[in-house]
Amino acid sequence: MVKMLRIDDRLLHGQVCFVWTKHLGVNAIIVANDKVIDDEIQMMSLKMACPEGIKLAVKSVEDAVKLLNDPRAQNMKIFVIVRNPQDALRIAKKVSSIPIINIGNYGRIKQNDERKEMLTSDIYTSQNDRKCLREIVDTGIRFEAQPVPTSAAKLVKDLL
Amino acid sequence: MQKIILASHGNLAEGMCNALELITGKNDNVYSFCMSSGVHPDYIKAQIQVLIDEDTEQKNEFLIITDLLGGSINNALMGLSSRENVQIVTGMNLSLVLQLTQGNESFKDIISAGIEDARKGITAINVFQEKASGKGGGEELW
Repeated sequence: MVKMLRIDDRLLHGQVCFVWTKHLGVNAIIVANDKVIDDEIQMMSLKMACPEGIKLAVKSVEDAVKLLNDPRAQNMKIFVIVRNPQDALRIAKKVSSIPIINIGNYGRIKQNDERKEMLTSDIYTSQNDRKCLREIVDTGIRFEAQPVPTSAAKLVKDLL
Repeated sequence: MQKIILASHGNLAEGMCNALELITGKNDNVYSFCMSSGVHPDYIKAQIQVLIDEDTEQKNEFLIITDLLGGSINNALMGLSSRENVQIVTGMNLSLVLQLTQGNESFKDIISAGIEDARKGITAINVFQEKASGKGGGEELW
């Protein structure tokens, strides 16, 4: 079962690997991203970051959806990580029973020429991003901005 | 309540605290004690003793993480481990501190496994790459 779907443009790093995994009690991480699977160095970083004792699968978004919809996924406690709101929306539309979507770090690095606005000190969004975030809110799944479990969780719908 | 005490030569402990906070957020139950030049290790021990003695009914659990096995800090603090509710681990590094401080279980129960996992985090990159390259795109989940 999915314990949480998190949007974090750093994918796996300290907060995710050491803090969230323990807090959620997961035994598997699925990183869902169409580009990372072809990038050897990023793949290596992901393997380095994954904590001991937790299985790591790195898949394209489509393959991650297939994995999550496999009945055997019900027996695992899975943390799904995506890099951006667009991939999160794709997964949220095709996988049922996601209890919570979380957005941690996103958008601080300039990727293209789109203007960005600050949503929180960890989240910077373009107009397109905000449209996507609204669509995620509309799925009805609880959607929170919270970098680490000890920080205050804010409902994304209240930030938009 | 669980309290974590980092103690070191120089400012390592304070820096470790800062690094920890960057990753895990603020935690008022993490304390750092730094032995600067000219300070006697017993002074550090006395300060930590005050913290531990405040807990008169021994309701808290203390985990002391020191920097160096055989170093003055660890030597000075060793006596504190005779208390049931005090554990001391040495060899402070960020991986170790993270492994031992992010769960809810009793410190006693997690120390062994935490140390083993932290040890695996000390590696030459090329050695890791050689081990990991067999795994391709990650593992099969089942």
